[in-house]
Amino acid sequence: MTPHRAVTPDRAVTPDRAVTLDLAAAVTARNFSVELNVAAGETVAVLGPNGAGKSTLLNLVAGLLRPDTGHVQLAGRTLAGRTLADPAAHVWVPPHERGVSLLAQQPLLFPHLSVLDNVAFGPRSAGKSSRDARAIARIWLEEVDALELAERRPASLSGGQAQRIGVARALASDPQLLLLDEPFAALDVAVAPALRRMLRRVLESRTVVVVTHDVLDAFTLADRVVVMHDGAIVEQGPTREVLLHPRTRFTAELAALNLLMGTRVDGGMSMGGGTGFEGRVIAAAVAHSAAGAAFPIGAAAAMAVRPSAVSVSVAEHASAERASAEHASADPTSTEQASADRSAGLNVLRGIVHDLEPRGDVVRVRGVVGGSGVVSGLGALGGAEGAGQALAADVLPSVVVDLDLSPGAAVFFSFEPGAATMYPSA
Amino acid sequence: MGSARRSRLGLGNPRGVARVAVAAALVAAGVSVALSGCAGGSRVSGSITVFAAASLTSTFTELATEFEAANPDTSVVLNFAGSSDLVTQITEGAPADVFASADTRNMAKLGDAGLLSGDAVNFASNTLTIAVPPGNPAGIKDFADLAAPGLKTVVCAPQLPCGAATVAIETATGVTLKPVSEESSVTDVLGKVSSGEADAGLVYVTDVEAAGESVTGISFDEAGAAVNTYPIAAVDGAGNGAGNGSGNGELAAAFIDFVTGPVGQRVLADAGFGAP
Amino acid sequence: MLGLPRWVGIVASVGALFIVLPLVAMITRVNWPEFGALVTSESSVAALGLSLRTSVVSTALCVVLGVPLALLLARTQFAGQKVLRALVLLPLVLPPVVGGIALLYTFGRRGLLGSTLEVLGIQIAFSTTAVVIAQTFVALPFLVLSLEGALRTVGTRYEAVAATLGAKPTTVLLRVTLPLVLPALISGAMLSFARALGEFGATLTFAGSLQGVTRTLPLEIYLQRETDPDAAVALSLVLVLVAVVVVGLSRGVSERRGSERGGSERSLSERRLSERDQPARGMPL
Repeated sequence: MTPHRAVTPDRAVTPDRAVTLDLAAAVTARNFSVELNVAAGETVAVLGPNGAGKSTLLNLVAGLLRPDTGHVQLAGRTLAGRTLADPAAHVWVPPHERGVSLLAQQPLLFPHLSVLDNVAFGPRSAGKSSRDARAIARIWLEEVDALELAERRPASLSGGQAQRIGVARALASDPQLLLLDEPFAALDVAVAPALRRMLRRVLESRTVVVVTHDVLDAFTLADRVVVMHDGAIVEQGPTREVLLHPRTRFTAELAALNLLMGTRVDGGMSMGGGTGFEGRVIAAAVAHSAAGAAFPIGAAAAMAVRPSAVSVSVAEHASAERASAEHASADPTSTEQASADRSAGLNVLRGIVHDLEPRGDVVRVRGVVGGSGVVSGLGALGGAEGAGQALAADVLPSVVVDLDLSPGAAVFFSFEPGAATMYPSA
Repeated sequence: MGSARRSRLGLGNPRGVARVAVAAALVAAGVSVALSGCAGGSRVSGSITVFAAASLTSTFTELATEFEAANPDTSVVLNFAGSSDLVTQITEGAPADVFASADTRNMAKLGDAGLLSGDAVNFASNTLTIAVPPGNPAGIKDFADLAAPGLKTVVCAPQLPCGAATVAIETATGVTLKPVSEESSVTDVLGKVSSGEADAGLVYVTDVEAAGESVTGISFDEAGAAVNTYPIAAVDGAGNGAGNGSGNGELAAAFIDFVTGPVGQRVLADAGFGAP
Repeated sequence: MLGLPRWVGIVASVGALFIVLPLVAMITRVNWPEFGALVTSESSVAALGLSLRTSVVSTALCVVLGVPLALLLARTQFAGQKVLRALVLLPLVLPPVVGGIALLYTFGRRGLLGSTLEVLGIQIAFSTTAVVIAQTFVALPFLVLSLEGALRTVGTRYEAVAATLGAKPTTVLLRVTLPLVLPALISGAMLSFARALGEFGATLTFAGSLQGVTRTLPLEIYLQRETDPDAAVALSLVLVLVAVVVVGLSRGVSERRGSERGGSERSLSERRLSERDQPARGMPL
């Protein structure tokens, strides 16, 4: 039912780094089954929508949840599950002995302690004297630019200040692994950027797993991203590779990109399943996989295009007006109008509007292109088989009014080849 | 309240009254012959409320039943509590026609308050006895044994009639008790003894009689040094301005006569009370 | 303010009068010229002193026994937990005399534990210890109830954070959990103290009544009624005043807790606010 499960997560970590976190665990009640490795000094962002299992993953690592099967190992030590040395024994290391710090969405500063004593809590628990612990706490407060808040009570802090203290407190306990659970989700949009910059600085060379549903966090902080959906990892790899060249619908959604799948043809990609003109789209940029594998004609291909680069029209001449003098080779069997557009170098896809969603100063028009559900008047995509593919366009509200767009309307989605990137989909 | 009771009893169904009257005559023939104070001729009717000391619970319940049988058309409502509680209740306006106290002191309090309509009459006496758990595990024989070191004796607090009597006996005998507890009621003393918490307790003869198997009584000669006298008197409802009581002075007098008469004295003697 | 139906105020006034009027009535009966002498008599001072001493010890016992009990009820799950909770709260609804009888059969000379203790040379009946036991028995549920509720309200999130910062379970308990529920602990302890102070039935049944040893203030009042109603009323007033002070202090603590909650309330609304912004960033296409 869920085809993305067929994608086997490769457990490769960032090259040239030793694995420190080795997790392969399942929690039946939550339909959770994940294998994840994190290298020492690496920051991994775990992306996914609510309910994808991100928090379950963190709780398993932090020791707040026991896996039904599998194991959790950190720096060669088994924290949960069976060990190689004694497979019969079931190991369980309680949270306080794991060397794993957790910073949640809410900073959860202890309300009865001052800011300084909050940060000193970790060192104090590790057996440091009150004086030493406070000295360490001051260093970390300095590190997060919050030394002046030392004597304040948590109740008197703003959300951004509290989260800074939360970061300092988590780091002051000197964890082998730091877990961040949506660290910016509870913050005003205005204060998040400063905190993000601060985190980027202090997390440098630390081993971190950061859970987020914001790609900006991932771009800013992570060496690698892991995309989760329905309790499983659906995609993972270097941050830019995954987020700029998504290979699953889920990743594309997170990265706010349109993802079209098809087969590589000369100069572009066919969405129709064959290599003919039907459903052919053209991409100017061709990206190869990170490993530099070959990307021959006929190979499975994916294409990413931003919704803001897609425009909508109801008559093809509207698109034709935008046609430039440059054009790619056209297929003579197409209708004249389509041929004109294609020869103008514009990708035109027939589709049906699904819904309209106002987003600030633009309206996102979501539709389906290709597939048997799409009625073809001109036959440009009439021969396309299989399910339609989702495509979204961000257009001005005036366009929605002028074209009288509403769900069910037959439209053309078009975009410049230059706005699309094509890459191997597997 | 009083008026409600009167109307209930005064329901004037002539036939019913006639039938009851016949029955009453028959009963009177057997029982009331001995009624000294209340000559068989003067018939009484109506309802009265009697406030009686807690130690009179069983005897007065029996006496009320017999009184009602002997005097058809009458009803006796009983209220039992500690004597001092009853005095408080009456002074606060509780409806009472007759007050039977476990000591003269509480009766005097009511008299001082001007709430008695006549003189109090002593109708019974009570003496202390030693109550021990069944089998007498501590082997107590007489009053002096109660002062033995290590023995757990419980007594009534001096504020209570039974406690005052205890103090009187101590004074008379020169034996000073070291009680482990001075309880607030006879019931509490008996409870401590019957449960075996205490080795012995000092209570009235009648209390031991009423307690049945749960405690054993050991009488002692010095008990005569403190004889507790029970007085009874009619309450004057007008005295406290509350108009309490039924106002049925005739019936109240009849009940008092009944208690001090032969039937009353027999019932009291059976329960262990002494003569007044 | 939102208007309430007028009749609510009227019925509420009747309810308030129902509580206040008897107290006022009692105060009108106080023999003021003698008041000082009545409450400073040897027996009164002995009773008040005993009551305060035993109530303090009982309250301490309630804290020592009640905190682990509340933790067990609030933080763990085990078979029979509901039954245990119901049983622990039983003294709240049990007539004190019944509690006294139960204690008698437990710690009494011939009781379940009493006979063993007697062999060891420990005698509880008729001792001040018996008073403390009776008071603890009836006061413990107040502390457990108040603390368990607070523990559930606070939740385990702070404890989880403390654990991931490396704090051992005992450290978490002492430095995080208990400080977080301290206001509830204090108000619970005060209610327990007030309940212990007012304990009468179980003490009367189980401990006896002897000046300076087992005769607490309520027992003294009960006894004084026999001969000296003025003294009983004067001592009742003293007990009422002590209770008012204790309940007032307890209320003060819980109100302070309420205002501290205000701080986290604010951050909660901040979170709501930003969660509203959230979909704009992670919204699916």
